[in-house]
Amino acid sequence: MRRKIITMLAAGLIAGLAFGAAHAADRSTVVIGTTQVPRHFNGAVQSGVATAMPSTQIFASPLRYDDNWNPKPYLAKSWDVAPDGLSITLHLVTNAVFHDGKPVTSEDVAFSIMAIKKYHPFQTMLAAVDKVDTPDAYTAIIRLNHPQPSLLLAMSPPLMPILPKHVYGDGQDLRTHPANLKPIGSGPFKLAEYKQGDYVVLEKFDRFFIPGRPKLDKIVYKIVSDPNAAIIGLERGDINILPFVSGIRDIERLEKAPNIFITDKGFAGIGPLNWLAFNTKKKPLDDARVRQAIAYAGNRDAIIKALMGGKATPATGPIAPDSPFYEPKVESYKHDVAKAQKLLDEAGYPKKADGTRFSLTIDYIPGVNEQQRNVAEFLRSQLKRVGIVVEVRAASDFPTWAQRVSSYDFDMTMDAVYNWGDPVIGVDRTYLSSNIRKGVIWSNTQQYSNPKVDKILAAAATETSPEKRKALYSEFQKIVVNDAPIFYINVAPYRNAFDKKLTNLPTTIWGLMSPLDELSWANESKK
Amino acid sequence: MSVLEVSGGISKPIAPGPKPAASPGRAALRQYLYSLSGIAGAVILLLLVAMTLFGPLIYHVDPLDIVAAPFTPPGSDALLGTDYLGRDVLAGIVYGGKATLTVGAIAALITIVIGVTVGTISGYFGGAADTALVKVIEFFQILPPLLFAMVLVTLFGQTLTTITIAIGAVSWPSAARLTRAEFLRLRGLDYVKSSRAAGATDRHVMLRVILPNALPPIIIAATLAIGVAILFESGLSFLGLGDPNTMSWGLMIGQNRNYVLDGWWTVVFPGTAIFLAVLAISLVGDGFNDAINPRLRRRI
Repeated sequence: MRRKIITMLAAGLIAGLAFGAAHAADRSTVVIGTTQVPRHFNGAVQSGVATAMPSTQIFASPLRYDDNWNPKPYLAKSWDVAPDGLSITLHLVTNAVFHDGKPVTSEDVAFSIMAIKKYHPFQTMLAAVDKVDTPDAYTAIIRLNHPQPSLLLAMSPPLMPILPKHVYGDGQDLRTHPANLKPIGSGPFKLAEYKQGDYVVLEKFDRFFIPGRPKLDKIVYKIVSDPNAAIIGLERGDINILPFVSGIRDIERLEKAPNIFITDKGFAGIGPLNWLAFNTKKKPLDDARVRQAIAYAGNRDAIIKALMGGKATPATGPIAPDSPFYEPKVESYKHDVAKAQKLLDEAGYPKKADGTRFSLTIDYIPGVNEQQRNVAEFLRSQLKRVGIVVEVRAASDFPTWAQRVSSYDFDMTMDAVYNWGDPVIGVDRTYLSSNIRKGVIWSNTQQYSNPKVDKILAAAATETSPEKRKALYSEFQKIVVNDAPIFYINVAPYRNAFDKKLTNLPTTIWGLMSPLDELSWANESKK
Repeated sequence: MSVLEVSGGISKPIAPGPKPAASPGRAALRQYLYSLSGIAGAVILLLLVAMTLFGPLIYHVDPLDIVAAPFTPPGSDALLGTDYLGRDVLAGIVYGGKATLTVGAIAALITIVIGVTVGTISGYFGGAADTALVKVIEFFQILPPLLFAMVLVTLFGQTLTTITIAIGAVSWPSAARLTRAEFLRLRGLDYVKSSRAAGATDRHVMLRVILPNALPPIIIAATLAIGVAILFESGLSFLGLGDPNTMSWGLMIGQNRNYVLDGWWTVVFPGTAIFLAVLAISLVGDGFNDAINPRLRRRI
């Protein structure tokens, strides 16, 4: 018996030592948990968080951003916008090299910009770009057909990775290029290993052009299919960073965890809005008064307080509150049942003998219950009080929902759409009448059409004076909120959760979709 | 042999005559009343049915309406608490029973109608028809029923009607096999042969001679099918394939299961209701078995 105990103690001691050793080795490694599987690592041809997180480590971009929307030098040490707004000159750093040792030159920048314009899903992003001139190896001049001030934001890490021309310029289709899975960039980390659907290992790039960086030796993206397992992994310390936590109960749990720091910083760039969209071409929703009535009856405050535990920020208009273009002075649609009833009466839909006015259906994106399904069910109950009978239509999977909404086979639907920084990139698409494109999800599926809005958005896209531009977007927000093609509900309550011992956290507008070259473990006091 | 017992026990009065006498029914009822579990099951079931029929007349709360703050614990605001949206759990139990029990009953009916029809034709005619139908039965049997029902509901939409039909459509093969086996056993018996010799048509022999004698096990199977169908509906709702516009016990569990740690009452009460319903139906099925099965009869 005693022998057994001694053996057990010894085993325990050995295990403890081994754990300690592993822990010490961990000081230069960060494990990031993610539920999303990247298709590949080339952010030039693929949007989305799954690709952007590793892509921004592997590829450098012309500019990067701080946490206040200010552009900062990255591959471009400086840049000039011509007074007429028709060209932007980038002066590149001279010491940047790709992971294969070849220098980063203006040729690569020109190649990348034209490739992104051709292949990236955000077609409005580089719409104004005509060509890129390369007077010398470290100067690139972007020539534009018309001014496009959003272009500076389009040079952000997740949107404009600079690809090596000597690798990707071999004539193969970029969307299926073999190097998308074996990427060569000039970012702080290079790809060491990718096991499809399991993990991505990035290693420090020794010749990264900013001296002394990156601080870490290794970043591991661990793909965890079960969000609950990811939370537990973070609490146990198997995972050091968990991005895009959005479950209310998960957030509350991690806020209480002693070893975790959780923040809502790092999502200003994407501006994720959660809203109720109307099919404005379908009776009775073709009448703005009916849509306004639904907004008044909807009770945004109760949704945020009761359903989302107060963890979400209210969204009041088409532009996310974190954006510099946000206009807070719009109609807020504060809960007002009497006003809703009055608007419905005026619109010619009086209550019938059975107390109802008309019936509508509501769809929602499956899989994100707290943000979508629960809100839809809540709205059903709210709208019943003003005589609108709502039937909740469940979709068994995402394509079913997307098919219904993009073919206009819906009355109302919950939806989640990202701003992606500048309105030109992620906002215009929802409101421009020219973007009513049947079959395309996240186009103007509301079929909202207001010539005045079209005009304002066109003007704002090319307006070079920041003040004038802000004024134009202000007006746009007031009009759209008033026309109510959409009832804005909340900003998705995304959080990034970090191990408390990490320092220099990525809290910029792009969060974990920006280079993690400064992130490091805090110096521990002596053991 | 049991064959003799069956034909001698219950089938004799039914077989040749146009209408069964009243006495065997009464005898079966008396027999049923001897079975304690059968009585218990019937009482629970009657209570549940009474609750779903008369409850809404007494308790006027819309089960889909939000009445209080989410996760209000059982108490004065809401007798059994509220769910993640603030909907009344008691209202869900009272109103949801109708959907759950109706789905169970209708799905079981579909199961039995398809199953008995296929089994009757297959067992009576035999030969090529039998071979073909058995292949069809086997085809449906090798599909995992829950998965198959999920596919149907996914394809045709999450409404209570589709869910009911889907459950019926995936559960009939066992009823068909049971009926077929009974027919195979009965069609060679003397009284069937004599009725055929007397010039009865196939239709007459099938429906008026064999089927009444094959009914006892089918009735038991039908009873149990209701319980299975209720579990099926709950299972589909649990997987998120319930009809969100009709409150049912299964839907309550399915929608609230993520919040079981925040409010146990959101799941425990509908869970108990389903448990009681299925238990009661099984007990009733047992009672029927006791009443109809002549072998058990002698024990008393």
